[in-house]
Amino acid sequence: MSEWLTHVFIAYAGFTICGWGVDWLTDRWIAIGVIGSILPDLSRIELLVPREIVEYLVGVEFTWAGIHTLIGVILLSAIGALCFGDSAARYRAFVLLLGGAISHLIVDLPQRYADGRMVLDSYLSPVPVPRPPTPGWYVTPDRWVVGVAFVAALVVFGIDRYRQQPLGQ
Amino acid sequence: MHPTHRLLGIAVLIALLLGLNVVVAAVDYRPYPDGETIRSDPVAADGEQVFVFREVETVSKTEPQAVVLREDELVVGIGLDGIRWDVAYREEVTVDLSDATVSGELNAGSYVQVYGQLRDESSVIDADRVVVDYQDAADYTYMYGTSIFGLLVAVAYFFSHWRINVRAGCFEPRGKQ
Repeated sequence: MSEWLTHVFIAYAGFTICGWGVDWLTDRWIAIGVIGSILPDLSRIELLVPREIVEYLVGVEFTWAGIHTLIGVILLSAIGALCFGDSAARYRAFVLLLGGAISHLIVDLPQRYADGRMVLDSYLSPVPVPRPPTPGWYVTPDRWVVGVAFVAALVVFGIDRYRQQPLGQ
Repeated sequence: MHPTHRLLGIAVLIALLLGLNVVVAAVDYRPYPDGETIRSDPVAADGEQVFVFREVETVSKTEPQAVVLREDELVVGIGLDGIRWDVAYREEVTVDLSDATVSGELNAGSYVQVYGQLRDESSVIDADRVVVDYQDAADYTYMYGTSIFGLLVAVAYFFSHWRINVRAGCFEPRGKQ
């Protein structure tokens, strides 16, 4: 995982750029996509409710890691989408939450792993897939990562404002 | 959508999500032996390739070595006095760093990934590569601090555009449509 501020900046930048080509994708909807970028890390509920407690209560092997998978974020996006009023909003919310969550998973991919491979297999669990090599760009506490994400978000924000109201007009 | 239908839908999806977590827990999708396999026959596991995530207990000042724990903790009771944990298994494992590429700075308390081979009845990992994820407490503070700040930014951004309609039990846009 990267820390959440990076995920938020990257999702903001990505959805804002998408908004330049999609009329309905305004700030109101981009805000939902940004929430989506945090969904996979709801697996951190482990810090509040360790899996051992669930195992004690239900008596079967358990992990919260299922949340940080493609199927996990599809289910979470559907839960989030149900919290919206009309069916058009629910459909958009689902697409945006899932898009944000997938942006999170992609940003997490090129992290450094000691065996030199990406954790793509954990995303698609329980479906078995091979693990491609990782470029190993960063580990979570590397401070430059959020710097790059912030600059990207700031540049996109600036261009977006300019598109809405060109200078001098 | 009727609030009852919404709640029912959410309940079904949460049940599916919990079920997914049980299925994922049951899948052994990495080719490395797990702790249980190593414990049950440590001699047979010698020579096996392992890839583990562990907290560092101690770093040797004289040898290129660090010690991590192979451990298993279980919840054995939940009562009014809190949760009772029991250490089901705990053993020190030496990480031999003499032929290892180490990225980052190793300290006691660091959280590391170790990739290497087991030897000496699985009491030693001959490390090929070690990646230090969290070097010290400051790295954890940074990760939690930026994450909580990121969460607050996302939530504030969301609620600047949406509000909760308590009666209908859903979010609705703020201001004009």
